[in-house]
Amino acid sequence: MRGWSAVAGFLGLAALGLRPAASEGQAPLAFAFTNAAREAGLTAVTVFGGKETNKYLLETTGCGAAFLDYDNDGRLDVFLVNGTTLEGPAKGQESTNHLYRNKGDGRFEDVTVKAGLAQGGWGQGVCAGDYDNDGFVDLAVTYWGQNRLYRNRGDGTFEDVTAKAGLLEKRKRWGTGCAFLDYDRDGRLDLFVANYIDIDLSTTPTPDTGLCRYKGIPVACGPPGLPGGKNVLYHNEGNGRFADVSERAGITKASGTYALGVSTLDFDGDGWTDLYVADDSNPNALYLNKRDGTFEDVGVRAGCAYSQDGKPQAGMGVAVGDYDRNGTMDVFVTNFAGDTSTLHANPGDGFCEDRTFMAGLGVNTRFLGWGVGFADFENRAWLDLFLVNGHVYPEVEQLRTEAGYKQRKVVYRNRTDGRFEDVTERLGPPVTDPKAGRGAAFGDYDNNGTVDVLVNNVHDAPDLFRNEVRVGNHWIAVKLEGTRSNRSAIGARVRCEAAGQAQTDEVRSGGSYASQNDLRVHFGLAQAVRVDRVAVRWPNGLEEEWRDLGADRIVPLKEGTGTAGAFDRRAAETTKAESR
Amino acid sequence: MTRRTSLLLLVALAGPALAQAPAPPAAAPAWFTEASRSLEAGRAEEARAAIEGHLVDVPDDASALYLLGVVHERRRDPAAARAAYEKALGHDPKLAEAHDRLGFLLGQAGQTEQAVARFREAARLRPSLFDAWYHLGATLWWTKQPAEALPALQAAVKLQPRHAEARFYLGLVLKQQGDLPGAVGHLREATRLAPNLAVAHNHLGAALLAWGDEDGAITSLRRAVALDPSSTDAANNLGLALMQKGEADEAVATFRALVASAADFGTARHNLGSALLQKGDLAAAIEVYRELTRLDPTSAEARYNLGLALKQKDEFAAAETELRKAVELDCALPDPPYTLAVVLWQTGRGPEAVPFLRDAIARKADSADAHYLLGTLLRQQGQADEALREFKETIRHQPSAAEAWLSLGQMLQQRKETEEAARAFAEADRLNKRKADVQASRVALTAGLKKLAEKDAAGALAQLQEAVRLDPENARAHDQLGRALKARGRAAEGDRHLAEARRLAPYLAPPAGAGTP
Repeated sequence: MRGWSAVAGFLGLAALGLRPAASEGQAPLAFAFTNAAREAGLTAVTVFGGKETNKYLLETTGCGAAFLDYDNDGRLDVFLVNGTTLEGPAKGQESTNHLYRNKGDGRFEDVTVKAGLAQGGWGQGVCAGDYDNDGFVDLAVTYWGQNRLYRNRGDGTFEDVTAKAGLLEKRKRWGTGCAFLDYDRDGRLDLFVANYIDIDLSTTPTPDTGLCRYKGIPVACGPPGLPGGKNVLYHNEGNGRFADVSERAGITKASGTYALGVSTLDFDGDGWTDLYVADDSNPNALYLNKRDGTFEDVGVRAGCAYSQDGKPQAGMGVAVGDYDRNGTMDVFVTNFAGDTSTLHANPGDGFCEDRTFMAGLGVNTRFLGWGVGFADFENRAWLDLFLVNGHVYPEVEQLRTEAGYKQRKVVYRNRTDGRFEDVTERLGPPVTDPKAGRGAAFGDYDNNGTVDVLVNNVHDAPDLFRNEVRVGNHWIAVKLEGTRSNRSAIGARVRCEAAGQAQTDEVRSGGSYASQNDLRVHFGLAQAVRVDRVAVRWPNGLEEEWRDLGADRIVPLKEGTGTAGAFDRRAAETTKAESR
Repeated sequence: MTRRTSLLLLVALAGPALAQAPAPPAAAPAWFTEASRSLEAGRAEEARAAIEGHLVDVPDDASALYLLGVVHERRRDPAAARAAYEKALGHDPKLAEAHDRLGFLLGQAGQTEQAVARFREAARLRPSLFDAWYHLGATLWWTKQPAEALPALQAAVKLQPRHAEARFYLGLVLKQQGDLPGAVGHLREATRLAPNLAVAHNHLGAALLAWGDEDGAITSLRRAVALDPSSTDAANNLGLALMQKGEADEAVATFRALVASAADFGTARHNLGSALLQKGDLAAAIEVYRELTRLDPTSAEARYNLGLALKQKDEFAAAETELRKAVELDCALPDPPYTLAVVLWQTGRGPEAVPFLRDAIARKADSADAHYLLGTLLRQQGQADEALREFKETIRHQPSAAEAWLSLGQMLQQRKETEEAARAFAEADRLNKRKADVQASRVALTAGLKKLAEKDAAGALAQLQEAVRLDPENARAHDQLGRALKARGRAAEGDRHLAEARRLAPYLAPPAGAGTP
């Protein structure tokens, strides 16, 4: 379909059995991206392993990215994880993570050193949440090596409280995606860390042994054949310390291993935060919160773990969102090249329904997906998909393969009929510029009501895709603040009703690939100029509503300041009618 | 000349050169001595004159008539040779050599059944006549009667163990009968006895590949190609072996060279396309397959391969076109309808895929993949009973299909058949674990070899023991563990592992100095 004329393109779509509305298929897109990273000052290169060859899989995973408002000035700041090389950095050229403060004029200031976050090492993922409920969002950064917890002091600086918090590891582990969540609803954020491989570089075979090949080329080995890591759940004890409750909580009893991307979600809508974990070459995990301090991995049983033909996939990134507006959280997972991504739709009956092919998402197998997000790029009140790609092996450049090591993104526009269409080529650069992308965070960094995308690239500067919407669709964003619930309101479910339409979303930690999205919840409103109702189910169970809100603004909502009201009025009315 | 008879000629030429003159009588008459000397000196006409001169006096001398037949063969006059042999047998029906040579000429003329009868008679009359057994065995092999060829060739090899070609044919027969160790043994001996016998290296390579010895296969096939660069079969086999080993670059180069030198060898083009696909060079693979469809627009296989390559490039519309053509062109090939069904499913048209899957199954009833995909689609369409049947059918044909057990378990669970569901899930888990353990075993083996190279004997031993524990059927792990144990003085234990290695993979050579455990 690339490069076809408008007529041929339409015929091509018809041949595929897709039936776009004639006008919609040909109308120019209402949104576009420009890469504002350089002008914004996001120029630090992410160093990660060898550039042309990788000896170990350790050098391939890349780093996550985060949007967070660390200084509470109402503007999203940027945190980019960084890595290193096997040889270690040259003196004076140490690579560290980076914190960039949003100055509000489209530019960012590198405040890494000032903030006390200049840490090197094999950085992997990042997640954000106010674990001490002091009103300032904190950071967890995962590593191959010691993970780190940074407490936000509230004065523009962070304190490394890893040891104080009881998070020192007895042995070297490979943390990847992470998420803060209040799994026991005690009002304090706990911490979940996915673990990938228990890799021992002294015994792991290297490419020169010829054991591991990709299309004939010797490459780094794993993960199959290597010992898998065990995920970890730390309970927030409330005194600045965490306790490892992984065994007790059932976290270590997952069906699979080799965990990468993580997201919180309330899969079964019972008000208790669950977790979805993308596993590489293994069944993905859906940790269902049993409401008694434990989780059960129901991924396999619920049909959320494998491809629709029952095979494990190389899961990398996770996106959660209600793409079909049925009130439940659906899950989208990015996978390896030669495979499609997977759309696990949530019909609300406790099971997943793989709708990848039915939704038109089976048409791309050439790309290797990492960061991903559901986002309403046009503010039409329907969630689109944005995938970040890049091959695992730099050696693939030796092959005349379709997609190469650096790859373009893929953007799927929601057709609103249960299907998506690939609009990447129509978007053109910079989305089609090939990069070795990994983590991606989604958020409105310029507060103009459109969702932007931050991408962490390997051996390259990051991308900051500024979204420009060309139509006058409206929007609203809510910034939740817990009082009895955790301050960040992670785990809150939000329902937005406008012009007779309802949308549902959550405040989530983690997400994408080893990344953290904006904690504010954004809703596109299409042509609605007012929001009839916003309902919130707070993490601790309180349900409140706010009515008659204006559009095109960011609205702070504090727990306890709304009006008591059933989260889902239709469900409540049905229950009431049934009980009469 | 037919291919068969030309090969019989090859057999004859490769055998004891040409027909041999019979052993001289105790007191050789002058005519015989003169004829023999002339024959050996290559002076066929002189030999002929000597013999014919004798036959004037003794027209019923069967031996002389036989010798005359030999002379006529040397003169490349098969008709005259045949007449002489028949005449000889007319006077002495028990002259085994004459039966044998007559059989050879009959075979050359395409009268294979009569040839076989003559060889059998020759062998019956003189069980010690190597030629008779050898010719009989080779002819039976060429006429696709390996079971009958086997005893004949075994007899020939027993009579002349150092006859390279007899070993060669015996190796071929054993390979066809599935006795790979036996085949490899004889083929290896053939190449040792006749190091320049390219065809033996070729078939040895093919046998080693079938046996699992990829490295050995590649070595033999490289030799075959070096000895006979014109052998398309050897080059093709080499390419296939390289592909199997994952040496995609060299496989591509081999097939490209083959295509360049033998443009009509369609198989080479197909294999080139496969090697390019293995390398991930989709554009080049598509180019190759397009050329194949141009050369033969009615080739279902070419259309199918093209469709498959286009599918991998995500060009689904074009893939579908080619696959549909492949389905129509050949109603026996099961792969085209199956892959077409996958394309339809992948592009969101699952219901349209169902009839093609049924077609694929009709073409190949034991296609586990087709049964499984059909079950998956029927399940999605709510046809639970039929879906369940298809999953069970998948398992019947491929009990190791973990995904089928998993899907079966999920369906049984939904039907509240919890015990059966639990069993199915358990089997899926067991299969997945087994697969993971096999992979981990390979890694542990490689780690063990690395430790050995680093002279870390204790570390190596730990890794090798782990490799065997994870996969007790890892022959190489047993082999390396056996060697490591023996090196540490644990001979008995080491021998047990070496024996297990040989049992699992007989092609693995024992360590030097190792007795038979």
